[in-house]
Amino acid sequence: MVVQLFEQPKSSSVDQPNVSKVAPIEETLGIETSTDSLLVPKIGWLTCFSRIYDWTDELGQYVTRFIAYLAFKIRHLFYPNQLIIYDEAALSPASKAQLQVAGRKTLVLDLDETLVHSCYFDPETNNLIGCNLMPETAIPDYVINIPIVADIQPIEFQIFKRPYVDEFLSFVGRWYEVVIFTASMEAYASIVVDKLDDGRGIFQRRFYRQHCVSTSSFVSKNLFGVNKDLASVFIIDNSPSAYRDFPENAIPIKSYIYDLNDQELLNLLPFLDALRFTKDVRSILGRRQLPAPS
Amino acid sequence: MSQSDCEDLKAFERRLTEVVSSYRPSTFRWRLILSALSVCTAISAWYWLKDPRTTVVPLTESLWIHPVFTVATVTLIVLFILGIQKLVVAPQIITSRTRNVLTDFALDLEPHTGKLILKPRQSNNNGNNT
Repeated sequence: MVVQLFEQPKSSSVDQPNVSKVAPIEETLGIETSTDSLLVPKIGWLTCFSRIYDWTDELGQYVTRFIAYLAFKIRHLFYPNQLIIYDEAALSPASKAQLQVAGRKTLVLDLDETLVHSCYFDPETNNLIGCNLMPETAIPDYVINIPIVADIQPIEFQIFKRPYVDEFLSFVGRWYEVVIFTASMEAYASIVVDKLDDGRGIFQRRFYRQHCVSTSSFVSKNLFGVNKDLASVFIIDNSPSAYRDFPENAIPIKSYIYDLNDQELLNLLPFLDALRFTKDVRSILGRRQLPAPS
Repeated sequence: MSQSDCEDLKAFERRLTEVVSSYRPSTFRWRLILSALSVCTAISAWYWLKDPRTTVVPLTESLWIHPVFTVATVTLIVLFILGIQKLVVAPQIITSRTRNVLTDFALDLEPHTGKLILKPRQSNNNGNNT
């Protein structure tokens, strides 16, 4: 609360010679003003006009919004399944009891090509790297400038969110302890994760490139570092090499480059809703058919 | 398959059936609305077409003469714009989405009930699977 301790004295035009005195609007418009404002309101017609203008402007905004909403609905008619996101079913007493027994699981999410796709502007070649498979009309959700190396101009990244990523995160944030584990650099990934989280506090912990296990040919992610109990942790990643050491704790997902009709995250919601009721995630995820060893 | 695996599969299946069945009441309501409205539109359309005045008077006037047909048709169009054609098949949409994921895990789902179907799987060569 701001308390005004003293009133600033009104300075006259003598004190401020450079400030021109502005005539009141009544004088400018040539309107007679009454000293008794209760009996005759000052410039009543002008106030009335401004109110009507405000009202019509507000109405115009509503009409515009309604037309935009209708257009959105009509457009979605031609994309099947897109209106139905997911309705979380009420828990039966048996499910409530099972959920207490099962305990809260940890869901590890990859970032690039799983939740988002990003491309960056190379200052040396003046080319967008990673955008060659995308239409020119594609509009990024975020454009961020990140100083990767000190004393060198920041690199511009264009971030494209996977369709339904916000809805997906809001659901899994309620069901699981959500952890981000990315092979990207922290300087870039932390900003993108902050944007995705949007102050919702979904991502409990974050792991970056420095936390990955690197070999000559691939980068893998150590789930032991996230949760010692492998019965309660699993990863969703587009890269099989990331979970090669934990094949029974992984859900594969298609790589996301840019596809407005992508529904992979929507497809996962019922599955993830049911998976939290298991005592050991490997009893379901361990059934996955693994590729034959080379 | 161990006892704990069986329990987990049962718990997993129970939740999937809950999810699928949770869509049933609203789906039934929307189907009822859609079918009632479709019947209403069809019957009123029949009367509208059979009316000898329809061919004589302008379209706007003929629609004014048959308010039931006009209202039913407009309502039907609005409901389709709002996506009623998806709401009436919501359980199938959810089931098909789930089946897309379950395929990787040698599992399937009964389309209407959400019951889990265990498919035979090959050994993963890591000694962990039964």
